[in-house]
Amino acid sequence: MDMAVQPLPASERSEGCFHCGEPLGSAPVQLALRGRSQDFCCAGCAAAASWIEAAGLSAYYRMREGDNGPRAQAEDGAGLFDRPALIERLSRPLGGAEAQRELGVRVDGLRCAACSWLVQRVADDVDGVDIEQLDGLSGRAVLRYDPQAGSLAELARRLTRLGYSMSPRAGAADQSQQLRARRQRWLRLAVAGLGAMQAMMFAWPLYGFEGGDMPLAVRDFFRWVGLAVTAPVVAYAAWPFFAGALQELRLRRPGMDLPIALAIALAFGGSVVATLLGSQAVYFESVAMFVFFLLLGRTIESGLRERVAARMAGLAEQLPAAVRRLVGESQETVGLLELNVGDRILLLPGETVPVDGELLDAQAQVSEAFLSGESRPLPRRCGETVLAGSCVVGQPLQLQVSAIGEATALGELERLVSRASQGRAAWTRLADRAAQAFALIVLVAASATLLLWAGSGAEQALSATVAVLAAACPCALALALPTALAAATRALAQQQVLMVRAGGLERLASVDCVVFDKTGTLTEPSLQPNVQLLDPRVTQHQALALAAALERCSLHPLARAFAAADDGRVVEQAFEQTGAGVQGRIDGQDYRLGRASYCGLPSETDADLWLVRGQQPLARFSLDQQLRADARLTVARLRELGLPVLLYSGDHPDAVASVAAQLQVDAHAGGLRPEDKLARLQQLQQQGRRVLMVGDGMNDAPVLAAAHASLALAQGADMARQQADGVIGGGRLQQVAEALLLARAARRTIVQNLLWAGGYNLLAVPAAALGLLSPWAAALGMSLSSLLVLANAMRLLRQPKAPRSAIPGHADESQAAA
Amino acid sequence: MNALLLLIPLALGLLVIAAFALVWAVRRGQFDDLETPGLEPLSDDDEPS
Repeated sequence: MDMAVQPLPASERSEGCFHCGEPLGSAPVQLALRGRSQDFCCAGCAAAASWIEAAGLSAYYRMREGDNGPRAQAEDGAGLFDRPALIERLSRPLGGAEAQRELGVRVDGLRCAACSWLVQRVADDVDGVDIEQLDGLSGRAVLRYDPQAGSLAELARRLTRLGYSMSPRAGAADQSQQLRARRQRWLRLAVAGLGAMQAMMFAWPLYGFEGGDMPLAVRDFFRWVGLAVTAPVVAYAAWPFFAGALQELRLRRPGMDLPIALAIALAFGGSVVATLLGSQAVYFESVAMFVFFLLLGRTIESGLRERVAARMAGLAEQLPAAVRRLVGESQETVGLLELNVGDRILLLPGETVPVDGELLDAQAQVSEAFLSGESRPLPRRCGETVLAGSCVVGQPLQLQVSAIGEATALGELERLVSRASQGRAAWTRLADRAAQAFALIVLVAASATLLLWAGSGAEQALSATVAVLAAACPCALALALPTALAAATRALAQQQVLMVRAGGLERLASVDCVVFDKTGTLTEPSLQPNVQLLDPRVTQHQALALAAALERCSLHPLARAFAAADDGRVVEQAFEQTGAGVQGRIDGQDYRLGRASYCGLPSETDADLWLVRGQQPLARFSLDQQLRADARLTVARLRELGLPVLLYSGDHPDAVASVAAQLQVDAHAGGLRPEDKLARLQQLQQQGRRVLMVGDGMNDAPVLAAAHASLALAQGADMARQQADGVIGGGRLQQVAEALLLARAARRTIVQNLLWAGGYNLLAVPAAALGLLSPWAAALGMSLSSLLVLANAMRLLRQPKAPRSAIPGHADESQAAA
Repeated sequence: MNALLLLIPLALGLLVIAAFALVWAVRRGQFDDLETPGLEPLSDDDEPS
């Protein structure tokens, strides 16, 4: 590849003194550090640097790098929407007739499913802007808007008025805002906790008061102290509930906060009145406890919400906000948002690459641990793509920006994952509507209770009404589904399985049959080619390099076998005929690489690859396919779970049969073209099988797409281009079984949660209405019910136990379908 | 009973001190990250090369 831009010599890269950063004088002092020549402004700095290195502390320079560069200021989120040029750069056009664009945003302040619903409705009222999807747990949203008609700024302003805030989502995430919200949550929880403990302590003597041996003055003293410690809890810690309730009232859309706020206000107000009048009903400790447990539930949920963003989805928001752009010979620091495709940027070791870009240096090393889980640094050559989110290892490097923000492979992947966590879209809407209807029912029930008990005096009526409001808070119901799905998605991401298509988790939970592809799935994708030279004028090195150059253009997993031998020679007019071979022109001569029939040679065996120049055979490559180390275990585990395992492959039937025998699959078929695989799959599905297809993703995309559920093993940028429901990174085949188990566990958890939350409310509300539950018991029960639902969902996050020992040849009652 | 008149204000005073200590701790960022500090002893100081 002919690159117009030459890498700068190392000495010109640093603008100032290596140690102190001051501008260099006319005669900088030079000193070799860690094998590279560095410039210093004076001998003193050079001495300091050499001392630091001698002391083994050179990590100082790397750590310092993160803080001392000027960073672009995070801008006020809503204000950004008034800058169309900027927004245009952040968004991506949607194909189609209209000039619609898609923009990722982040909505802060979402507390529950009802909030998400509210935000959606607000967006409905703004012309030209639609919320394509909104993840209530992470606050991530995708907007679809028409630049001519829609006003994003209007939507941002309306949301701000309602107490939410919306900001464009790119590298520059407003982390400080999140931090402030987090600290405030902790403070509110702390105030509520301290208040609740004290209120209970001072309420304790009052419980004994019914016996009547306490002077009235002492009783009132304790009540006033109780009032004093509860007041801050109600006024400060419980504020989010009141704010939420006000919003719901203003919009006439009762949600979760209204019953809570009513219960708190009624119980606290009633108690204050009772304290003033000296009458019976005083519930300070119940109020404080109620608020504390509600906040505890929300704090746990928020923590989960913050962490649930899949490992890499979170990473996309942590991309550096500022980058060093090279202009001519000098460099300037610009915001990520101001970067253009085609710009040259400079990255130092240890930094995270903020964009996708082509490498301008001859060689570099990056770690793609974020994508594949493979932490070994990967070599990259000039012209190759370095992905956003990679970490620069070893040497500084220069990139020519090829994609920014949403357009990067990471952005694409994040969008897929975020869209997939919307798999619950239909479910969530149902849960929202249920919570809303439930809130209305609660309000009606509370009013009815008030009327029912009105005859028995104000105290009884107040007590029963507060109990109904507290017991019936639909928190548990609203939390049941999203927390379980979020926890499962996160647990899967931890195990390198990313669900990228909507509803994948639900479908995965219900499969009853597994079909594997062979090449690159059950076998290792990287192979050692054995070369047999057929032309004495060609060396082994040349043959491999030619093959590597041709295979660069191929998507077939075998192509990677040659990558190590690639010396970067240019291929023109490259063309791949799927399942047969590749052809191309190198140095003015035509080459073909592929099966014997494709190369115009008498076919001997199907397994080998041939390299021909024109008609002249040059070399023959035989590839030994190694089974993945965990292939046998995976198949055994799946069969242990009662799933028949099938093997469909395009390879020679003999090779497939040998693999099938080694793995003891239930049925196998070889020599299948993609359309044959599809036909067989459809046949299985007509028999009522729900098939999980596991493939390498690129070759068998139609089959993956047609299966009931599908998983693809993929690495690097390929992960973002999958047709599968889920992508397994790091080549860990055994995660197929883990993912299946987790999906089933998630389904179980959701059912448990819904049953529990529904059942609890069904029992508690009538009991409270009949006066059988006192307010404190109702508050405690509701809080515990929510916490139980949360805790149940969190169980999904626990690391799975070590795989049970698989018994090879374990008798399997289920029948193979084919 | 007179002891209560001393002890309860004392308890409330301690409560106020505890509350301010918490506010101070939260503002100082003590609760910002509850996970990584536990892992820090495990990380090496050496620069990866």
